[in-house]
Amino acid sequence: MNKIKNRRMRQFFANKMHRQMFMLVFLATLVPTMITAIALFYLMFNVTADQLIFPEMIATNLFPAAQRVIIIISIATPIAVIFILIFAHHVTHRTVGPFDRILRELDQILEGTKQDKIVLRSKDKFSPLVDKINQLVEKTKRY
Amino acid sequence: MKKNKSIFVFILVFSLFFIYCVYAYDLPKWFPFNEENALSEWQEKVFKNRVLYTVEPKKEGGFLSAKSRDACSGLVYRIKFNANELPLMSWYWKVVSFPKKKVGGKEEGGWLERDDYAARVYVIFPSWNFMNIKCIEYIWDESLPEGKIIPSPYSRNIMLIVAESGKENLGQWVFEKRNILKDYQKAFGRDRAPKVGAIALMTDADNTLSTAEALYKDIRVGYKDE
Repeated sequence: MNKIKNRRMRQFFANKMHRQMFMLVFLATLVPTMITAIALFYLMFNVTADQLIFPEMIATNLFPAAQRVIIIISIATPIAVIFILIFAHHVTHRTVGPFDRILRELDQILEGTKQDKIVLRSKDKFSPLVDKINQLVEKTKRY
Repeated sequence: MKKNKSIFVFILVFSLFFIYCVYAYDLPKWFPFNEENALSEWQEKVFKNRVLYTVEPKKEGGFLSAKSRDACSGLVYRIKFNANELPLMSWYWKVVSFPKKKVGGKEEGGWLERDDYAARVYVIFPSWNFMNIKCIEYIWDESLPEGKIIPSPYSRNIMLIVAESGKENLGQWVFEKRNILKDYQKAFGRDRAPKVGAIALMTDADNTLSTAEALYKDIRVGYKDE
């Protein structure tokens, strides 16, 4: 498993795969959300502006509404980004953490330093895979 | 496969031609107001109360009458043309009465409170960004000097150009011919004007809580001198 050299990065990510998966989940959530929000903002206000057509009407009715929406967006966006960061870290940690552990424990089994089964936490992913690996290890031990 | 390709190309070309036809206008566009249904293509937008817009097709060759009593609504005609190529616009207008520019008994009001004009002709330049929609308003004001360009109290994207000033021509038809491109350059300091998206007319007296009346006729847009 490729390890991260940067010490600060290592605090957040277990390895390079974790970082890559985190970025994938983070961007895959954030980018479409932002594009949709921006598109909706402009679509909503541009369509309304096109209907109002008189610039005075747009200035008196639409500008204050748009300013309010911009204020709400500028407050909500950092909060949403923080939530997405936490969510992405949590999801990827739950995926990459066990994967890393499986590899480490498999190495120990291959080296002969570990005899018992690979055990994952109940909420961790890859439980069915680990069950099969444990069965395989048991089977190979018999032969 | 080749047949499918040619059908696709045909549909594409036909669609483009259709879109072109939909957006193509007969320019110059002339609004003589000499028919009863002359306003059928115009849209009314109401700010505050409705101005009484009526077409008088038989009188004086046909004209549009606008009477505002504490009201502000405008008529819009959506038309797309390139003001850089076809920059001219002309019309006749007649002011019957100006709005009384005083608020609550005071002669002096705020800028916004004085933003009533007996006659206005709008040229609207839409933009993909609604915050950047620009507009030139040709106004007839009794006190501001002719040729003066001032920003609207609502937005700096709206520039008011005093096309006619004073009460000397009150009750008389006055002809105006404007070069939209030159006026845009003067008002916004840009070399080229964006495409025009609409023209509009308005007579308002809502801010001054008074009455105003004006007539419009023979409007021509989208042409150039030969």
